[in-house]
Amino acid sequence: MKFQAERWNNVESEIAALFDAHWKEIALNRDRIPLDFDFEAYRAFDTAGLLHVLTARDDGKLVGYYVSVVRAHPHYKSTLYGMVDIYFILPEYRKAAVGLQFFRELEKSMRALGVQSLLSMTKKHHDMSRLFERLGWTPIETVFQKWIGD
Amino acid sequence: MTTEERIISVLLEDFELFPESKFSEVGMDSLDYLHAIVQIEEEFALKFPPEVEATFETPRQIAKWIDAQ
Repeated sequence: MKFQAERWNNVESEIAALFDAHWKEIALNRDRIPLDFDFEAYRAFDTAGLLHVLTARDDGKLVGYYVSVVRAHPHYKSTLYGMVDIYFILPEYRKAAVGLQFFRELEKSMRALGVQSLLSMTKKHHDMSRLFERLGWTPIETVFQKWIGD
Repeated sequence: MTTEERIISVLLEDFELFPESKFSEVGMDSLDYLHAIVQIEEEFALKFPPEVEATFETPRQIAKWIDAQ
């Protein structure tokens, strides 16, 4: 497995090919909230230099991604943050040490950019907390959702 | 009991392993691997350094690392 930083605009179609599997595994309320990705927005973020994309490839085939927004936090503008957007590895590639390796590579890549603080998330129904905590991340808040669209 | 045997005995409850079994080929996913690493740390009262904890492919490799300490 090879992990490397790539530009969104160069890998968008490969990443998008995994979205359906990602969405079906992770998303809640799929009957109410359809997958409707705003590719234009991501292209604009990438062009503006705000996106960081770490890919996982097996023999050249894209099998995973970790997409972050990298910028100074609006509240703490002297501190560069890496804020998670989405991450995913195809289930058949989540073998043995791959998870640890992927997140270690993420941290290495972010350090190289000068990022000082990383923010990420894990789903309650797909809990990766043990992995984060092993790697020295600290849980800092819980996200709530309430559907009010009816 | 050798180091290899101790490692395998710790992990046998969840996986059928031999000294050269590849963790990636016995159905061990990333969280299983992490759990295995923690179990082995507890068994041997040690902590794997960050730079090595994700490098092991087989029980034998872990045993060799432990025996070299």
